[in-house]
Amino acid sequence: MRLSDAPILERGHIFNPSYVLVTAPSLLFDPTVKPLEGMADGSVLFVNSSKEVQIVQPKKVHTIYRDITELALKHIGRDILSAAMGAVACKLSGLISLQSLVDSVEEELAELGLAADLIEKNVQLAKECYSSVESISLRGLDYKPSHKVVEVQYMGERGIPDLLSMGNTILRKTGSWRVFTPIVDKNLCTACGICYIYCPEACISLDEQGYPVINYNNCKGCLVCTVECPRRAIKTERETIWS
Amino acid sequence: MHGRVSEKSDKNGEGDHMVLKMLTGSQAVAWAARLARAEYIPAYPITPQTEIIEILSEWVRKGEMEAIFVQMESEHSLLTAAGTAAATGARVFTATSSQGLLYGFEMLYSIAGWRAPLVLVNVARALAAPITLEPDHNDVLAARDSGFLQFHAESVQEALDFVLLAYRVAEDNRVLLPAIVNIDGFHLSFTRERVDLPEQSTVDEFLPEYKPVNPIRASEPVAKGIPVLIPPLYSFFKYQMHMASRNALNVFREAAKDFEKMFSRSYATVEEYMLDDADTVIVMSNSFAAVGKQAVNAMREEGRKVGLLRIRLFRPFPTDDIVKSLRGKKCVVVVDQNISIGKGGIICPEIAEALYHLEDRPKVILPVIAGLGGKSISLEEFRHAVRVAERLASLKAGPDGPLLLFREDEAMLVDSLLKIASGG
Repeated sequence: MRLSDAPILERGHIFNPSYVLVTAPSLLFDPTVKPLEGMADGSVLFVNSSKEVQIVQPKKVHTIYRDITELALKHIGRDILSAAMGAVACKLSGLISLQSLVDSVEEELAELGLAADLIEKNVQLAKECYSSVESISLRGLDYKPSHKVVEVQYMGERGIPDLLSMGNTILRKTGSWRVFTPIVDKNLCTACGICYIYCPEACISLDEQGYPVINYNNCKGCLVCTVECPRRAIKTERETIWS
Repeated sequence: MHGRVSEKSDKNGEGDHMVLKMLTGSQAVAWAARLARAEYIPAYPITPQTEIIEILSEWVRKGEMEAIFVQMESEHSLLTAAGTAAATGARVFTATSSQGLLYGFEMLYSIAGWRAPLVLVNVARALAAPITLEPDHNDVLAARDSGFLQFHAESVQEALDFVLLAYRVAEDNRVLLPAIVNIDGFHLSFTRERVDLPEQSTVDEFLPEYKPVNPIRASEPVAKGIPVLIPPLYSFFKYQMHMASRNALNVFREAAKDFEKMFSRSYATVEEYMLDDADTVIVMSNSFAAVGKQAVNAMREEGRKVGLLRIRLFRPFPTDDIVKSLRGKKCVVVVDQNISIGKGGIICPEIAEALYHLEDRPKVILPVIAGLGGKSISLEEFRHAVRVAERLASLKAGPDGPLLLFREDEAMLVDSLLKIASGG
């Protein structure tokens, strides 16, 4: 979204954010996300987490932690965070009134065709999130110096978009995407192997006795296994193992 | 089918000899594919290209050519098959025309992005609508930005030779880009000209086996043209393609040197015709350049210092050679046999950009549109264009826009046909 009284001359990527809202603490450690990159001293960081996170690069950044997922589960029963995070952003910036927020949540969710009761639940969630934080005005922001411009050299055969390292998706630790973690209850599990077959990411292997072993580095938490298990032997827990 | 006219000894006296034949452009490029030992030929018929694949399919059927010939269901499939086969390491030849090229257009960018070298002959034919069969270059020039190298032939001999040169340059690992060889429909494709048909052994020597980079093999998987999604990575690969294409300028020059040694025909990126003392230079490409040369001869007889520059290699664009040929001239008349609707010719701005920063740049660069849909270009039209350019130079003025050449008798013909069409 781009909104201002004056013309906005930024376009595309935001390289020096004033406010950064992180929906899951695991993203702080994801090398492909790098949500803290470009944050200036004096900017504001919000992390959806019940406890403080050891952030790798300590900065003069105002940091707030709240467990918004818990509130979403309480109000709407699912970890859908758009209204919640929107509400936090509105309040932190101090630019959007509660009434404007409520109007927007109602309007946008109605456009999506949501039932009235579900819209109302989202409004309640947005209201609680709005009141859970205080507005924080920005202190004098101090950005890092700009980058050097370089010339790309001709790389010959290395400059061809060929991928030779097959099966490298395992390097992408998608485990950080989980909100809920599937956990196999060995007392109930009969080693039928159905979860192994259904896992869309091939994150479940079988041990020597045929019992499932979940690769938590790559399991995205889709919970297909939980649904497909005929013995209901795969439980779910709120994710905490993100570090 | 191809009667032997005569034989002659190779000028280098290396015991090799060539065979003189009267071949159509279609036959010549088919021979080139055969001599290049193309291994895979995906094909789809379209006028005026079809003769090429008819010849090749017959050779393959009779066992005279060792290749796999496959009739595809469209040009989109044809180009997809061609590019993927090249990525496995096969030497691929294919050909299309006009609407066919546009139908497969999406794949041009993909094949070039895979850096899969192959040779595609485009038999130029003007684009619909209105529909026609005769040539102009809006089809091949639409592929200008795709990454394909582009060779534009004036004669049947060049058509054959450029296919061989195109393989040599495209497969060089400093380049690794596919190539289009453009030949004009009818004027080259269906016209017999005298051709030196090279011996297989000499072609084998000129054109070593294609050694693919990271070929697709069942046992060694490789992903080509991977999704990148990260903008700097995309930029990086596009820059690499551009630099590879620029490398093709010198790779072409090297190849042309070897070619001259082996076949006694020499090719620069551009051809200069009566340029040395010329005040005004006509710039053209492809087969209609012959009538441009005829016009130059006629104007020379009238005492006008006119010459002609013909572009053989259009991508990569031979900027340095064009600058060498055109700097210090008074007027340049760029005859574009294509039209970018709402702008003018496609080649003229490229010539102008090449010359802009020179102190001794020509006073006038006149854009001219001619030969659309195969309309002939007459001596009067060339003479008119040269006069307009020279008048602008004496007035120290520039052109208002491209000259749209047309003759009175053609206007009368059009008028009479419009009357018939309207029922009046």
